[in-house]
Parts: sequence; structure tokens; C-alpha cells
Amino acid sequence: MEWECTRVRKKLGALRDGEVGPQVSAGLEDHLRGCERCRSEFETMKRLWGLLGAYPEQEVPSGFSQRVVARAEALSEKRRFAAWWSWRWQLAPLSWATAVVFFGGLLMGGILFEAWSARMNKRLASYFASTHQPYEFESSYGLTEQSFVDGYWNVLTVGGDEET
Amino acid sequence: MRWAGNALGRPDEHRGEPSNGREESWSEGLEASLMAKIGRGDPEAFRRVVERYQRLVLNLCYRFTGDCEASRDIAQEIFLKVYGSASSYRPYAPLASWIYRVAVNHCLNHVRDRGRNGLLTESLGSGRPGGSRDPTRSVHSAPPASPEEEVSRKEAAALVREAVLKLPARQRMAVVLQRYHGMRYVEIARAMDCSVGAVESLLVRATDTLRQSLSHLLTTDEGGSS
Repeated sequence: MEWECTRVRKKLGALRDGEVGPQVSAGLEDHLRGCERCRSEFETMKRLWGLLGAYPEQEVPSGFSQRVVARAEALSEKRRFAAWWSWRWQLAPLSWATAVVFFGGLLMGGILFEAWSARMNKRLASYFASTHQPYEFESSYGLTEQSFVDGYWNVLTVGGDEET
Repeated sequence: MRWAGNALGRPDEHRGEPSNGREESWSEGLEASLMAKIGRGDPEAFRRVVERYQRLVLNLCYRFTGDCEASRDIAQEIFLKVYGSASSYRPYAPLASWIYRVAVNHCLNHVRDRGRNGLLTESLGSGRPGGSRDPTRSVHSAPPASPEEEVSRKEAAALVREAVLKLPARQRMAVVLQRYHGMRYVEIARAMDCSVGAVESLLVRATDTLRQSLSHLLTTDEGGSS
């Protein structure tokens, strides 16, 4: 009987809250009819739950929803800015890649030009060395009165300026 | 015995009137549509949801924290969370269920962050919950009472409030959801992310604690009623 009462009392809260099935409910109510102590306990629990009603509810303050919506809109603005900023940052790698390609291209162009110009210098030097007739070469190309740079250009474009 | 109707999906049914004071058709389809609009940043849809659930959320926070001002702040934060995560809402369950879950999590986290029981000592024992309103007003609203009765009601309200606020956070939340929001155990379990058995256990322990805290009132009540 004592064990049964202990078990019953653990279920009294669920019985009070209507949370037990019909069979268990019938069993519990049957027990309560025959057990003065458990019945008293159940009545106390119901009174206790009734007493809790003394804890009042709060009225919704006027303008509460407007304030919440205003805050949400402000938050939304912040988020839009954050999204825009993040979108900008997502473009950053592309900008970096463009810059790298651009400056890399410039560098490579410079290097290639240097290499090409060195090769041309070499060709020019070997040409002068092979003729042993700098005067004739120079006069044949009309370089007598011209600078070395002009001569260099004429060598590069050999055949192109023959009419001059 | 059920002390209040099922709150889920009908947040103000147990209080007798819609929270915005006017009738409007409300369905799960409308909820899903409103939440989709909120997800796209529609403030009007958000306003409708706030007006629908403000009373529910505010009173959940108030009865859980025992402080008017704090509960307003917490309720605002909860609605902002709802606003921020509206796009993740899936209409598998009523919106109220989802909002309860957000609110319960937020309240429990709030208590955890405070490092104590979420108990607000400044308002406890003062006899004026939140310091701003008559604690007995909405409870014993019926006939005008004598000054002695009024005093005893206020005392009873203060004692009950103090007893509820002294409960450990999860027990208190279970009591608030069951007693004041009329939720079924399975709904409480869903909101608190635990099993139905755990909810039952929380309520049994809370009942024992409350019974000890309010033994004086229970004796008086018994004496008065017999």
C-alpha cells in the first residue's frame, strides 16, 4: 500500500494537469477514492496550483510593437550594410587578381623586352665585328653623321630605309 | 483537470481576446506567408506577428524573470531573434511553437548568462513585482474586496511570486509554461528541448518546492475554505 501511494503521488501532478491516459487516470482515481492521505495530497496540489494564479500577468506597454518593429528595421539596415560590405570584400580577391595580372604583365613585358634588346645588341655587335668595315657599313647605311642609336635602329630595320 | 487551454497556435485564446484587440483571420498558411515576408524584410508582416504574440512572449518573460523592465527588454530581443531567423522558419509546426522555443531558449540563456538563477533581488520581496503595478489586479479581478482582503491578496501574490522566482530556472520555466500558458507536457518538452518524462520530473520537483515555500498560504487557504 505504501509503495503504491508513493507511485501514485508521483503521478498526481500529471493527473492534475490532465496528462495521464484514461486507464492510468481511472486507476489513480480509484486509488484516491480509497486512500485518504493521497486524496488529501491531491487536493493540496490542486490548491497549490490554484494559488499560483496569484502571480499576475503583465499588460503589454503601449507602443511595444512599434518599438520592436523600429528596432528590427534598424537591425535590417545594419544587415543590409553588412551584406553590401561583405559583397565588396567578396570582390577583393578579383581586384587583387586583376592587379597581379596587370603588374605581372608589365614585369614580364619588361623582362622580355630586355632579353630581346640584349639579343639585338648582340646581333649588332657581331655584325660590326664580322664586317671589319665600320666606315663602309656606316656610309652604306648613311650613318656617318648619325648617332649610334640611329644606327642601331637602322640595323634593326635593315632593308627598310634603303631609299634614304 | 486542465487549467487553461492549449496555447499553441492560439496564443491568446486562454486570455479571451486577440492581443491586438481586433479580430483577424489567422491560419497556419497566413503564418507561413508572414514569416516568408519577414524573411524578405517586410516590416508590416513583422508588426502583425509581434502584435499577435507580444502578450504571450512578454508574460512568459515576465513570469520567468519577475521584472517588468527586464522582461520587456528580453521580449524585444526575442522578437528580434524571430525577425533575424525568420527565413529559417519551416511551417511544420504552428508559429507559436517555434516562437515558444526561441523564447524559452533565450530566457534560459539569459539566466545562464546572469550566472545566478535569474532572480532579480531588487524586486523580490518588495511586494511590488517590477515595481510598477498591482500584482493582484489580473488575478482576483472579480468583486471589489475589503481593505483587509486586498492586503492579504497582495501579500499572497508577493509570496507566490517569490516562491516561483526561487525555483531553479528549468523548473520555473516548466511551471510557467504549464500553469500560465496552459501547454501540454509534450509541447513543453518540445519548447525546452527535453523529454516528456523530464518535464514531468521538473514539475514534480517544482511542486514539492512550491509546496514547502507556500505551506503557510496553503494552511491559511485550507483553514479559510473549510
